[in-house]
Amino acid sequence: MTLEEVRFARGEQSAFVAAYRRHGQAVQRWVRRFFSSPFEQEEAVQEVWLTAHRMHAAYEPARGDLSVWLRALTANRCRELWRQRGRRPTADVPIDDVSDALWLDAPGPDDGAFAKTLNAELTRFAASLPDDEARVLELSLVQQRTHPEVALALGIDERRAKYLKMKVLAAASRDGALRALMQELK
Amino acid sequence: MTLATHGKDIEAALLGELSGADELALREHLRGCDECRAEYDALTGAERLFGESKSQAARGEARVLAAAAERQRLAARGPWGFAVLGAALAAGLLVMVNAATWSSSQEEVRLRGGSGAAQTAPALLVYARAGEAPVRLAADFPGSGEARVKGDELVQFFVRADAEVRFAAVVRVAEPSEVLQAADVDPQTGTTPVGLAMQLGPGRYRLAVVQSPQRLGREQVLRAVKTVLASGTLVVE
Repeated sequence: MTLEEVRFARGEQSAFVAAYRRHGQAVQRWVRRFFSSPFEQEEAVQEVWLTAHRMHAAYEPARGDLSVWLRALTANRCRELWRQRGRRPTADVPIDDVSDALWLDAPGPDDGAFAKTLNAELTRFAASLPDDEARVLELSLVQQRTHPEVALALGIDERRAKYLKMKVLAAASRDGALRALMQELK
Repeated sequence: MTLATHGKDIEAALLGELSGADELALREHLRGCDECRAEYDALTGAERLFGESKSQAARGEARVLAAAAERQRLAARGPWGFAVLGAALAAGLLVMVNAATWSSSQEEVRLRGGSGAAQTAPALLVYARAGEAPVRLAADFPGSGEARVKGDELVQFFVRADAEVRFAAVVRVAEPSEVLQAADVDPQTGTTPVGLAMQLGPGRYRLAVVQSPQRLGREQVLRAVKTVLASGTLVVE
């Protein structure tokens, strides 16, 4: 039990922010097991955190880590969202579980193979782009540089850097092999 | 409305250029428009193949925290009127202690008390821990009345401040008074960082929190406290 967890359970806003920063990526990863659409994932992530915010008092630090509580809450909230939308669970999601949704942290059977395929396809895609777009892909999407940094590195203005980034994303979104991988991304 | 009218908004969202209000409007539209949602999913999905971008993470965090803050704000509409707070801030200084009484003086504006205060009302939280034992909340003033900690426990203070307060100090009111902790208030959370763990000697500690819209020096803090009739107490056994 940590001080942050005690403060989270008490409903303190700063502890909620700290919890989001510590566990945000994990919640996102768990939500991906339920929803493949990025928009639905974002909506579900927000729902999970708002539920956590509302139900903070239900978390008992003495009974376990906050991450375990959040994982179970994520599984329950995502199942509720499915039900609200009249969806059925996909094959890899248990209908119910009694072990704090431990399965959400288990690697999928094809994780290694997926990463390998993704790498190969991204390399192929990058090689198919004109030079300036390939550079933007590298700087903006792989190295995560800001638009002004990309513009500076390529000797272009910021507006063109943004335009090229959107052009690369649009091309990636139309690429058949990459589209198939987007569906599998968990 | 169609993709033709929202395509630019989707691009702006991905480039991190939409204002909060515009992003909310776009998301509302995406919930009901299959065509735009498909475009958003395709572009966002493409971006995610390269790993979650910093801008995606920042957008997600801003969305969640804004929604949570709004919920908190609505839940916190309680018995404490903001008109009183406004008047207090206009006076330039707030002093809050764990007293269930009101007092007035030239500098000190009000005292707050009672256990029914909303969670966002000013509060002084005292955490205590002995050795490897779990941290426990020893006191939540003004609600706790008189609280106790053991002499071998380390104590940490944490202040939840009023809106627009930028500085808070925890003071032991005595002859002479003593500043136990002074810290800037995080404008986003309205709280100070949790203070350093300290061991207090045995005795009765009448604690006061001095809040201010700007940073105060030690003497200014102590001058403010002299005007306060504090009654809440932490007993170190």
